[in-house]
Amino acid sequence: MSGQASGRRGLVWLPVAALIIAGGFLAVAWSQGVADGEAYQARRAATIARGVAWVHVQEAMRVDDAGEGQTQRFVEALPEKVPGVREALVLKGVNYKAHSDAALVEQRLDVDSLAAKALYDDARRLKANVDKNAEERARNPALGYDPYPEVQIIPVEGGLQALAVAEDAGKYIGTARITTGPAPYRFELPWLVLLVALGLSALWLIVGGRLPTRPRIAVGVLALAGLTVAGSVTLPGWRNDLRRAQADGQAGTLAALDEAGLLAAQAPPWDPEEWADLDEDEQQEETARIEANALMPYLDRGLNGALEGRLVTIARANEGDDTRLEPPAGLPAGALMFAAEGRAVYFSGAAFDAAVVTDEADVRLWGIGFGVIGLLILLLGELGQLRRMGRAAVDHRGAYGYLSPAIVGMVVLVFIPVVYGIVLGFTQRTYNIIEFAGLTNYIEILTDFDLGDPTNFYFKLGVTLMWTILNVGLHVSIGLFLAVLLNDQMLKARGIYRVILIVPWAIPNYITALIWKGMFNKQFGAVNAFIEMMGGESLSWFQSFWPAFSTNLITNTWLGFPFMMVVCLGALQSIPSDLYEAAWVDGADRWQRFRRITLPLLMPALVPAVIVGAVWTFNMFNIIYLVSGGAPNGATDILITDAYRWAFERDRYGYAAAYSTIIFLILLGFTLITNRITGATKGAFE
Amino acid sequence: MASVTLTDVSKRFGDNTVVKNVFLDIADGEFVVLVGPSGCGKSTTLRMIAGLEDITEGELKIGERVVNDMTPRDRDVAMVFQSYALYPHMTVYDNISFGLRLRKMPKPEIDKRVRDAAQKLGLTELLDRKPKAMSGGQRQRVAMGRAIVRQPAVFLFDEPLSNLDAKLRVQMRAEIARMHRREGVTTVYVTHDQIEAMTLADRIVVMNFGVVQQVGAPLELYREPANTFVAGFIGSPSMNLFDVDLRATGGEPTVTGKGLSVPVPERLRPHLGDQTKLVLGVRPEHLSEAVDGPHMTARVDMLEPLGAEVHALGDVEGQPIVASLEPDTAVRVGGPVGLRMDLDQIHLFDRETGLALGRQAHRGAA
Amino acid sequence: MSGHTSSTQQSTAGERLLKNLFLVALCVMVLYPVVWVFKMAFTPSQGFSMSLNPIPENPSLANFEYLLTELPFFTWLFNSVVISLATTLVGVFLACTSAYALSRFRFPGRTTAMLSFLVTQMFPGVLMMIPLYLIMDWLGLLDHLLGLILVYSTTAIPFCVWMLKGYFDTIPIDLEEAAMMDGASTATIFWKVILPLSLPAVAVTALFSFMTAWNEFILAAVFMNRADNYTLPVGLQRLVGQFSTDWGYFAAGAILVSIPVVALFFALQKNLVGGLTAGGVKG
Repeated sequence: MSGQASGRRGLVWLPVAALIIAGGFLAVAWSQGVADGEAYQARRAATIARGVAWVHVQEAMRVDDAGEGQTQRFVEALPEKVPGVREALVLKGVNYKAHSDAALVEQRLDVDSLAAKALYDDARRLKANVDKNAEERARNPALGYDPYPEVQIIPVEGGLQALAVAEDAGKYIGTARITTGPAPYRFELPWLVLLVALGLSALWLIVGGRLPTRPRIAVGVLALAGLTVAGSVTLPGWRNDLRRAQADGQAGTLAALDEAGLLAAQAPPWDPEEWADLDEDEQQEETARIEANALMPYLDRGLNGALEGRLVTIARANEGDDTRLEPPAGLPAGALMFAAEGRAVYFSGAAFDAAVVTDEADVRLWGIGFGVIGLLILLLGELGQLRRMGRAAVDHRGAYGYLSPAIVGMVVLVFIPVVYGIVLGFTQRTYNIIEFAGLTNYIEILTDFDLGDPTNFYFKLGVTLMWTILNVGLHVSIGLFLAVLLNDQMLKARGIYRVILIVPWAIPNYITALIWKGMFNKQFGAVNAFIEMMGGESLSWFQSFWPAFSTNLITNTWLGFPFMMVVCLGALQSIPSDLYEAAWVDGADRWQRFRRITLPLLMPALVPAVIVGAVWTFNMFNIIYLVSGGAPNGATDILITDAYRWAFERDRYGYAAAYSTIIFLILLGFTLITNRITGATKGAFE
Repeated sequence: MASVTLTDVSKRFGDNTVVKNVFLDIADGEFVVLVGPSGCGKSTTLRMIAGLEDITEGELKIGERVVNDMTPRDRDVAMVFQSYALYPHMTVYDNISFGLRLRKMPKPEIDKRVRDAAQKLGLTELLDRKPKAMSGGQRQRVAMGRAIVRQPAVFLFDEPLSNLDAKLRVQMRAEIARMHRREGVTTVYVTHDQIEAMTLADRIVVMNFGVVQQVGAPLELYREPANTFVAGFIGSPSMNLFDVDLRATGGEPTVTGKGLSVPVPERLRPHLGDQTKLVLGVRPEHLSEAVDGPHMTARVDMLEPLGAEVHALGDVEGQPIVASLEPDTAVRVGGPVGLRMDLDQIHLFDRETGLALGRQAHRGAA
Repeated sequence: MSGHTSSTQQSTAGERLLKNLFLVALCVMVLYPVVWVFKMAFTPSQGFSMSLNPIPENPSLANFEYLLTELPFFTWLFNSVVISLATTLVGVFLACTSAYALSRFRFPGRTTAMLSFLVTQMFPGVLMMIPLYLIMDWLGLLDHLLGLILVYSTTAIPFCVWMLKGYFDTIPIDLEEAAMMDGASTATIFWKVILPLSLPAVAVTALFSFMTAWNEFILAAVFMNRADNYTLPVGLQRLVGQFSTDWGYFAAGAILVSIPVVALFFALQKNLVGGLTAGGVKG
């Protein structure tokens, strides 16, 4: 391979890296466009649904006036007047009060249809939320928001569906539903980055070869860094698009209002396009004019309130769940919120700017991530590493081929969650905002020495260690003892015994746990019945630490010894009998033979089983959680169950993640050390 | 059927070269045995021919095709493994027919070939058995059946007899020789047992440390070992080797070592060069008891009577020696014995290079 | 030493009597909770009124009837069967191929791969729930049977790989080379030589994959929102949650849930010894 050729080949890396960075920005821009489009559509759907609800209120208020039939007129006009609206309806009780399909007006819901039933259930739930919000606001007049969602947005086939409650002075009068078309992808190609990347690559291929290696790498690094910065700075933000979405939604609704003859009476008509053409100030002026109008209280809630906001992704605002929503910290009064699938959406005027800044920063972070990847590729490539890796991949393609399906699965479903979990350990959550918190969680966990507190880490560690050691000790000694008993060829029924003794292993362990919990019941449990029969006094098993701990221990011992028994049986059977014969000839007695032959020869099988068993027991969640449930007072919880409680009961996910990272490190250390000492898994690594 | 040609073939594992620049021409139908101590590269060479190891450098031809990059499947070779490698989950019939089935041969043809092979190897009764239920010799036969049935261009044997007891080994050895005579297929056979090598081979390739030491017909190797390694490896018991110095005594070139001194025979004189540090080699069977004018006197510390002869083990001034004596010898353990060499049968090697005088370093088969 | 082989002890009749007594007592202890569940299941009352007597006083099938008729039991059963079988197939397949690669090939990253398989066993699974949930959401697999199948398969993989690799290691490489000489491709070698020879270990692997999927309820409860996507354990757990004192239903459900897995377990238990210990004990 001549120097020239290798030089040429080396030149490939910068173009590759530059194109990866550009591709990264392309992906970011695209995903941003998708998110933008979704947000846009969600807002518009919410706005329109509110508008429909509001019109319905109007009609309810003027039932006796000439305005009757307004709702239907409005609803019918929507699909035509508002781009993207496919269907609109107002439900009152079980009847369609209005429907974009005029044939359905005043028809009953078809209760046998699943879709209609879902609509009915959702409407009922939102209605209940209206009442709950009214209660909450009555109880706490200072509350600046509705804690229960009154608007719901869920994705449906090809679009979004918004459901809004029509209320008149806090009183429910119906539900409006709008179905819109697919969210538009508002994708802007990051031209600048692409052009710079291509230009840079071309230039590099032409000129790069003239530079000696070291300066070339330096220039390459600088060029890529510049590309990254340029990309981050020029990434199209979505703030403007949000404004557009807001204007669109508002204009569309206003147009429909106009069409329905509602607006004419109170405000000058607005052509949607004209409205969209207005700049912000003009729109605000116009809004102010409408504000003067008698309809404003509704418009305020229905339109303006919904127009500015932010999307915060949280675990899940449970569908079908009336879970109270807390607004993010710093959200000013007057915010409105609703739940959408997978998201809670909070609206508020003032919070908007802050939210957009955060989002833009996030996007830049992505860009920088791609920049780092690009730089790594350049460096690895220039230094020949990548080529070596590539060659290894080709040389060993058989092996990698066999391994890759499992590895892909493991990476996506095990490693990424693990890494994500570890990262979460460095965060804290206030309300639904996740913030970087450095080592705070770890410091809090590790520097608290109040051992009297049952949730103290060191107390938990002690309990866990005791739990693990006692369990593994009992499993191994019982298992080994039984294996030796059963390994007697003269024992006729040993097959039957073996089958019966592994029954506990076969039964799902959560069932076992619940059964034993029942057996330890103070009044009805079989254990107390037995104690009484023996003349003892029945015990409240879960009232104090030691009895509660023993219930866990007994259950887990019942559950765990068969595994060790089987492992020991297997190992015993593989010990050649001539060894015993030799020992017999040498005059060893039974104990000596066990001690000097059986035990040492069992070790290769037993040690890995003990290590695995210890790890399993250390993390044995089901038994603790289901049998003692931590009683009394969380004292019998082990680390893993406590971590679970921190995450899901005390709602401190970051803290829990730090907790489990510590658990992980303990187990890792344990395994590495035992490995070093015993070489237990050495065979497995050969 | 085909010839096998190795041209400058080498094999490296990382920095470790296990086979170095092997040149070897195996004629069509020839039976070649690779022999050498363990770790000498003979098995690796065989496995390269089989396609189980990549060839690091050089060219391997089977027939007229260069097969370096072909999979074993395409090389048209069959192999018998030391462990037999019978598929434990298949019957003998399935074991033998596996390769044919993989090649999608028509069923009746397979059946015919399997039964033929079974017939030849006396396996007909055992076709439905699984390998577990068979003796070592029977398994060995199945392994051979599996190779024969394919009617390959080349047979490869990797120490096929080393797991058998002595008696069976002799029997199977004869069977392999018969099979080769009958089928006439080019065969490469690896063993560390020189008796197998001598009895089976048309030609023997002696290897050590990855290098071919000598290639030749069995008797050629016995009579004219190319270097001290071959001299010591071929022949049983091994050739006695003594360090000697070349001197001219009274105009006659003489080699002198500890406790011995003999004139260089006429036939070796033309090969004498500047080198004075030599090794003298003499096979035990070319030593005889001499009352008068022995070349050397050995002290005997062990006698191995074999019936037809007695092997006397001892030393000549600290240098170990073995001599093959007449069965009725009067020599006793602990006693001295005067020994004469058959001077027509002695060998002289260059002590520095190990080469027999007059020999160049080996560069592959002619 | 007498003719019979491998017995650690040469037991006398008296010893055997003692042993038998001890083992019988132990079996009673082991079986008692199981019998107890049967009693609850066949006792119509939902209470917990237990005495030591394990025989139901007036047996009835009312609990089972309720489960099978009032609850979407068969839907749950169907889900569980589909998920468990698919998990077994996918998990065993992936574990076989990876274990084979790890056992037979030497390649860069091999030790890392094996270490990471081992290490994942140590991360507390409960805490992976939220990240997993987000990933499932991202993949659009929430409330899909496929989502659970993938998650279960991957969680089962490390243990299965560990076990299978140990077993594959005991299969001589000669066999593969012989097959190669016979003209088999890598895939043929794998399917026709390695797999048939590893059946005991594969059976155990399959059993564990199946049990993982059949018994798991935490992830299933989180990922499955619609009642017609519940698996049996989730349905059963909801039963306990919903009517916290309905022990009769629970017991009946527990029996129905346990029967298939226990049956499978016993069908394959002969392989447990060989399959589990092959890696640890060479020879």
